[in-house]
Amino acid sequence: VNFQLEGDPVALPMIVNATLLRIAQGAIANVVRHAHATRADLTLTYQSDSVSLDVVDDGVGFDPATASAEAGESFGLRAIRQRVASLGGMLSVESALGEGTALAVTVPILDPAAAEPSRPEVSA
Amino acid sequence: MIRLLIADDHPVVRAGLRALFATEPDLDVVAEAATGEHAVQQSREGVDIVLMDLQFGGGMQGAEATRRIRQADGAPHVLVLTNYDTDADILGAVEAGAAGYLLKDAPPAELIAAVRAAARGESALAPTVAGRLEARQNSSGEALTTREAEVLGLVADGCSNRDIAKALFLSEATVKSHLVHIFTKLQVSSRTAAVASARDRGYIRPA
Repeated sequence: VNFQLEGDPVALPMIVNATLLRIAQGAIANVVRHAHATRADLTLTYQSDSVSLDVVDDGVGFDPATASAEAGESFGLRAIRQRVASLGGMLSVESALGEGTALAVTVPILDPAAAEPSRPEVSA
Repeated sequence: MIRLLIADDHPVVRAGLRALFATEPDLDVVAEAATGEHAVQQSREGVDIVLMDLQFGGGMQGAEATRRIRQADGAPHVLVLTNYDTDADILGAVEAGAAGYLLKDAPPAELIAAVRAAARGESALAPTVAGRLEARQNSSGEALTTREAEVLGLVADGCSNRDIAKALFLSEATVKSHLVHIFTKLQVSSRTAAVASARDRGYIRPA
């Protein structure tokens, strides 16, 4: 497993850090368990408006269409998708049989004022 | 006396440089190397300045050889000599510890002056290169990152997003995201225009 860092790191809200770390751990565990890969790369990319985490392996891959049609989306992926959605981000899964798997999570970086943890809404 | 090692895979280039330096009484070419590996080895044998080609036909390239040479205690200074003046090459060489960077088409007097400057521990950048680095610093808001230049270099080679993703072990989503940022920075709207603009600005190698 290689790790690459691209771009200038900026401070992120704690919740974003924690979520990305969890996803990285889960994704690497998936690679180890299922992919039969010889190489996996974890790349954290800071851009002006977003931060992305890519977990890419050269393993056996799978057919994303079949996987979700047959068994529903796997539990792990669904959990990741929900975590990312809660941060306003996007998850993309790219794979094909024999072509390895790429998982990409992109979370927007809001301007510093907006990045302050928002007050939970109180509902009566 | 300044002792020189000339590292270049082209015998004609080595012979030309040797002939040039032979006219200067204070410069002495003590060794030549045709590969990066050989250059690293030779640099340990009483050399003050290494003139290093960036692109070798195979094996270790100039930036890596420079890095290894500079790791040693009392390492010689390295002056990089190359045909290309793209920023990616400059940055790689400077980051590897090169004292200076000169183009092979520089006037002989400039080459000789650069060797003497490097021997005094000064840095030497060809004026065109120094100007471009400065221009780039002034417009830093629009500069491509190393990774963006890498992505665009693969576009220039005719790679699809999928090819690029495979080559860099990235998702296609992130490759696309890099391209969007590249287009914005270069103020273009197509891959072809991005490649042309980046070549003009020296981010990627000329065709």
